[in-house]
Amino acid sequence: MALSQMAAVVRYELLMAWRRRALLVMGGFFLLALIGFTAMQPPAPVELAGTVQVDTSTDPPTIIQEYSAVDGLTVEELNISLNLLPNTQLVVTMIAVIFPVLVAITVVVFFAESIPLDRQYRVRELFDSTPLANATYLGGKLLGAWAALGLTLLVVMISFGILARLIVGAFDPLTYLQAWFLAVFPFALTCTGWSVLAASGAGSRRKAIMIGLVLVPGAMILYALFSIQFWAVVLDVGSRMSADEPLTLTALFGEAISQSAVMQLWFLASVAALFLIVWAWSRVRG
Amino acid sequence: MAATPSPHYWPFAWRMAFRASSPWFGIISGAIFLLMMIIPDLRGRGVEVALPLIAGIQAALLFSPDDEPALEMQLAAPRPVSYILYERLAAVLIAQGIVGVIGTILISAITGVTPLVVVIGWLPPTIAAVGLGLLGTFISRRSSAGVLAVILVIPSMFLGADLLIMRFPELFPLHFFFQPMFAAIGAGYFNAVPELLYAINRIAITLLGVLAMLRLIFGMRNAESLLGVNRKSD
Amino acid sequence: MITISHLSKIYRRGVKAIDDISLEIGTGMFGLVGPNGAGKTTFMRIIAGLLKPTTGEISVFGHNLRSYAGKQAAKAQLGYLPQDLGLYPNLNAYEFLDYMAILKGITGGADRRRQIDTLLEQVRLTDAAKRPLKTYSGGMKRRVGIAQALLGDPRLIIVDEPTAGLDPEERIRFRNLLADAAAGRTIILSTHIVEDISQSCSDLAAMRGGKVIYRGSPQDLIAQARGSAWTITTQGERPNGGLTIVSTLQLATGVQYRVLGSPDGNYDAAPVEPSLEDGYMWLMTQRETGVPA
Repeated sequence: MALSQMAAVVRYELLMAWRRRALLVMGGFFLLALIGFTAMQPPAPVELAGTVQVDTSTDPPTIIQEYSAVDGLTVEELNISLNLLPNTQLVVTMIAVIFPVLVAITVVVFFAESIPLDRQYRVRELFDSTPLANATYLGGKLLGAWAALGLTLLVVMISFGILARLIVGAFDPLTYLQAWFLAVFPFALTCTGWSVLAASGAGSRRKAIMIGLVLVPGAMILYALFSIQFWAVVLDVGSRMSADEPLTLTALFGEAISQSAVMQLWFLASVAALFLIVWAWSRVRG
Repeated sequence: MAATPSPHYWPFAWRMAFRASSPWFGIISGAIFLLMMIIPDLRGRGVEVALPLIAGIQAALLFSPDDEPALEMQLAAPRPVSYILYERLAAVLIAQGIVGVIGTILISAITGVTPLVVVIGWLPPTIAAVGLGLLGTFISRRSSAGVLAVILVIPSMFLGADLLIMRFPELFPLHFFFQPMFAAIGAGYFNAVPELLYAINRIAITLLGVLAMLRLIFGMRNAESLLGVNRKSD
Repeated sequence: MITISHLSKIYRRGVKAIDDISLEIGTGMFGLVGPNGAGKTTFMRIIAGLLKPTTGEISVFGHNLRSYAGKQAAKAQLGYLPQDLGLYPNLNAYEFLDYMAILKGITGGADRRRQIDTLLEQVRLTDAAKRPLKTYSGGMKRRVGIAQALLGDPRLIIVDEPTAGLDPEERIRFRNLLADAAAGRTIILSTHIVEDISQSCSDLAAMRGGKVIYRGSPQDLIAQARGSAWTITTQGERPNGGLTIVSTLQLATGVQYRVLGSPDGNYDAAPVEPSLEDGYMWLMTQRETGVPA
């Protein structure tokens, strides 16, 4: 029965979010911001992981500077496409580094009202009179918010992928998907989880938003943690390059994204811990 | 019994206005200002950093039709409903104004910059942020949307608008944190005196905020729209 | 059977809402009356498992509400309509009832649809079932609340001011609906409309100051006021002398007052058969003056 109840909470959360046009507004904003940032990128030489500098304004793109780490390497030995690599770097930077800032700020405020809204609409008393367990309700609300956000991000991911292909040209789709699924999604889910759970005790939308605002610096700290690690790994690639180990997309971004994913697991674990605290507190309060 | 003649002005409910406007946001602005004073590079811009962001958030939480208790009763009262906005806005301006005035005096004393220059630095973006927050909440009927508009636009302006006008110089009137230094750089590009460019920017920013507030005041005259009786969503 | 023993509820800041109530409620319609602030809503919330009692024991169909498992088991058999009913504004009635049905444990899709269709028919909302709830009038929302309380064929139904906001026709329909549902079930009905109790309940309790001050049948309560209900017609002056005015009627010949008490010879008083409302008012005035009921 608990599973059916949870599925119902998730389904109706999604339906209400859709009817409030919340998902449409949020998704539209994300997409516009991503396109705006991408379009604003100046046509300047692109630096790849401190390894080579590529001038993409020429056709074909040319290497204008090589650093000591790859001293003596020719373009052929680098084993990369000079078109693909800078474009991939651009979209990965957008997705894994710039976009999470927007996501963090938006979702912690946006989803904070998920549970308080039930109190404001005065439906909580009805729910409490049913055999719906606290854990099921909390879990349903959390999964509902995650589903709403996940679907929105999925649409943004696909739309931006198509638009970015038109704006910047070809990029590596696998790296693009990795950046979304291993960096953006888990980070966004963590921030949403924090927000839904931390604001669950608030009695009104207004108080929930205040709690969401308090969480913004916390979300920024999380962001700083994973983005610093991301760049540390990416920038370190240059020092490890040699003729025997050609520069590939996997070498450039793969490790950074997978290390970031490991960190994100810890972030998600913090949501699980917060869930247990909130659930235990609600049980104590009866 | 004769009907009570309408007064030329209506009384303000100050106590309620202060309670509804969360005046402790002023303390947050003050704290951020003091924090900025510790950072040498931002010492001269402490008020300019703190006030627009916090006053904008405070304004976004001022009036959301869906969350306003007893809105129907307030609409039925003879006093125009826009008075709610006037008195709450005044409460915000008092709370944030105190921080602004104290901050201006301190910055002038420490950096030697004329108080008027400091005020011109923080007042227009504060008005614009307040307008943005109010309008964002009013149009969406959700405080969260107004708050989001402020916390996304103000930091983006502070951190990124310099880059934006370097790429698109024509957008300089929309830069909330335009500095006299940029006006000097832009003078050559636009073939105009720096003071004129700076004045255009400050006036444009202020106008944006004022227009947003006017839109809200006119919007509050429509009781049907305030009650949301014809809305497609909640 | 609901068994309540020495139940008390003290809120934070020491407000005593329920004061040592012991009661047994069997099957059938049970009415709960009392002035505002008597503790009726707190009492019903405790029975519904929404509030924890400060002291005392409460058992619903053998499930002790002090334990979590007992509370959940009792809730599985409960239909509840709160006084301050809230609904999701952008769901329609069908969706809202479907949502509530699943939360109540009705997981079979066909069964759920059948129950919802029947209840929508009973509360006469079939035609409006697909309209968003925010477009509903107050009475229609109340009817959705009533329908959700009846979902799942609950053994215990608790309804707090269910007929508030309903037009007379709907009120009578709802009263009959509850009366029909009372067979083999326990229905606790709290209301300020004493007529609703007199028309449907065979057992009632009157509360005041967190205590039960009367427990018995409506007929016994009416009997208590027998001999104390009068009509007095004056030219406008209000009757005094310790009389409680129950109602006032402007007539062409003067003003007719319905009063409770013992009028002296100054008035042209005619005895009348008391109603349940008279009995209730009589009970409350006796309590105010300290006379035991």
